[in-house]
Amino acid sequence: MSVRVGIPRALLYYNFYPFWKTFLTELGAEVIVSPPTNRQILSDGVKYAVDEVCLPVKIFFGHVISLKDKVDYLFIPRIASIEKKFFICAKFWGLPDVIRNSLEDIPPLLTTDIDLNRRSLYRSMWQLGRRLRANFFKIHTAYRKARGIQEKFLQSRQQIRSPAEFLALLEGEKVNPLTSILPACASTADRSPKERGDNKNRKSSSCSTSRLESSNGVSSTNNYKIGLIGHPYNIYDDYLNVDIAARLEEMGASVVTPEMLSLTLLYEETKRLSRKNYWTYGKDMLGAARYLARGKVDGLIFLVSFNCGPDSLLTELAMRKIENKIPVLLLIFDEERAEAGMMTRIESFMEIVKKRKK
Amino acid sequence: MKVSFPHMGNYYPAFKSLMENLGCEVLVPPSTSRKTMELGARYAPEFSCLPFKINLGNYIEALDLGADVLFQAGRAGPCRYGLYGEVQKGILEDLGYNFRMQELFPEFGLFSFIKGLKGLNPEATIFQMTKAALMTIKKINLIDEMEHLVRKLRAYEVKKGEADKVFARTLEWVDEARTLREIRAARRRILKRFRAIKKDETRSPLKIAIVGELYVVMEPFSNSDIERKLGQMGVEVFRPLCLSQILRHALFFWEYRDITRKGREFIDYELGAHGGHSVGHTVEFSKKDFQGVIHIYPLGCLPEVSARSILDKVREKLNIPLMHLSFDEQTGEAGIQTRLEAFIEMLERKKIVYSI
Repeated sequence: MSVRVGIPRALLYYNFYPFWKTFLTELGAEVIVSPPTNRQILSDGVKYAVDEVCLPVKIFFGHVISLKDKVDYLFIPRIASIEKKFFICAKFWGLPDVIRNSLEDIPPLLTTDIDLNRRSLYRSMWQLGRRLRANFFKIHTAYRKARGIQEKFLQSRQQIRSPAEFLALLEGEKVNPLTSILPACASTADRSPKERGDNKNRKSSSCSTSRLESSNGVSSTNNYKIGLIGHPYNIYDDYLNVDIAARLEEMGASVVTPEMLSLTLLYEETKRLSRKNYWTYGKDMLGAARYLARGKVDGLIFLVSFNCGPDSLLTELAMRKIENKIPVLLLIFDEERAEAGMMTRIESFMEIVKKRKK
Repeated sequence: MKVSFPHMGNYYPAFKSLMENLGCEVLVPPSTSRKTMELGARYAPEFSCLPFKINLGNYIEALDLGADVLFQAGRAGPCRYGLYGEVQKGILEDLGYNFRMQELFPEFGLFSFIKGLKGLNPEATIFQMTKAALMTIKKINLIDEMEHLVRKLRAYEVKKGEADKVFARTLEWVDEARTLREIRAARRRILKRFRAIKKDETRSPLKIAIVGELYVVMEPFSNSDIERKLGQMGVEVFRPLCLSQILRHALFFWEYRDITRKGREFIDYELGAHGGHSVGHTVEFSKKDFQGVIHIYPLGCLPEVSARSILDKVREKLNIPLMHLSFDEQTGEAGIQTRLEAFIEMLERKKIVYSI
């Protein structure tokens, strides 16, 4: 019987699932993903996590608990940095240690230290492969294949039209490239997430202007475009964000997320906004905010979870520095999930957007 | 051109001498007070951490007094600190102030501070820069030595509060020293003055270590002066984390790593900033003659919150009394006092039970 490896459907699952899944299945493991966040998961997470951690980490705890009886290993890699001179939030540095030390009777953790500031991804994955007792050739082919799949995922995720499609894409389904909201730059060859830092392809800046024109001609059923800005685990977790994307669509708005933009574009835009930013996912936020605020959307909504450290400063930076003044809404989620309050805020925001457009 | 900087603990003589030796006019901001914190909290983002708010308050007060260059340490690891400068600059500019923000480390890397020093005064000579750096380091070391003595003396002094008084007076001597030779002379005088404090050697006070986030650990205002409170209760406080240790680790980086490694039973990797040190030190102290550990950090601090979850396990496994205290602008003095008293009482009782 093959080894069952559990991946919690939280945090960086939304960024790296295709890579992890391919790598682990190629090594002969059976991958089990925890169910989408639900009430039980949230309350478990709140119960077991330290009360001061941010909401996504609490939800992560809940997912781990929901998986613990079903799997032989829990896959929780330590992702400290995925590009040179950039970091992932410090909470991810200690995540495996925190889980290991705060939860009792969980299956052994399958972990590897991914820190591109110190060593290569290949070495990290090699270490992981050895823990699953795979041989050299198997690890090598698994690694190549996983990299290929991840690159394809990163390219096709620019063509999604809604958060629902993104989730389908994560699971490996194909997306029709012809009908995207923001047509992708044809020339922007995206590299894998592991090499986002070195930016030799400077064509994207010319791309961004061509996109400006083409995005006007897109046939969309909805009249308004709203940019949803935040971490993927905030945008795509429907339970956490009280299903904001679907609700916006009901109100006649189509949703644009940072994942629909190319990584090079985000990088260039961020450089103009903040020279000091050293968080990889801060780039998604700042870059997307700056780019979308220049007439690409009618309003921006920042999705921030309570007590998120990087976002507390990044949203402040983004809101102060975007040049064009468009309606901006800052939504902060906490474990109470106050749906009615959220809805009121979103509705009044949409009213402003509609009035302004007229 | 008036240069100003945010306060951190009692280190202002050191920062001041850094800028003075570079030939700048220095404006020491008013010492951190309730008003500083309220000013900072009013304009800072909602859940930014406490050091951010206090720094911002310091800046606003300095700018009101006419400063036009603000100084900030700059570049730092995965925690929020590295972004302070940029966000604070945005906030202050929107408030209508006119100034320039100069970072000591504009880029990553040990030697980027040369660029930072040049930014303060483009005409500074190599000699001036070396002298400034040496003076700063010497002063920081001296201040840390004094603080270390005070923490120990508070538990032993016969007349309560004498050590604090001596410290306040001798800090001025450090401030007045203008050359390296004067610093050496001041050090001799200071140590002599400290030796003159009457001590009661018969006491056997509780020994408690303080670990945690570097700013809150060092700035007495932000931690509602926890060290003095403990001292007044007759507790000997030990604090491994101080600015001279951080400077030392910048050069001898393996020492930094070694402290984290002491906790390798619990952590396999760094937690960012000094989170790993909180764990490493706690493990270390549980094996020494410490009766307890207090872990302090600003609310929501990224590395220390991870450390907190791990420290709970350390406490359980190594059986060392440990208390977490998180601070933000709402923290009340009385609440902290009560919790400290309860903790100390528990430790004293434990000490009696174990000594029988």
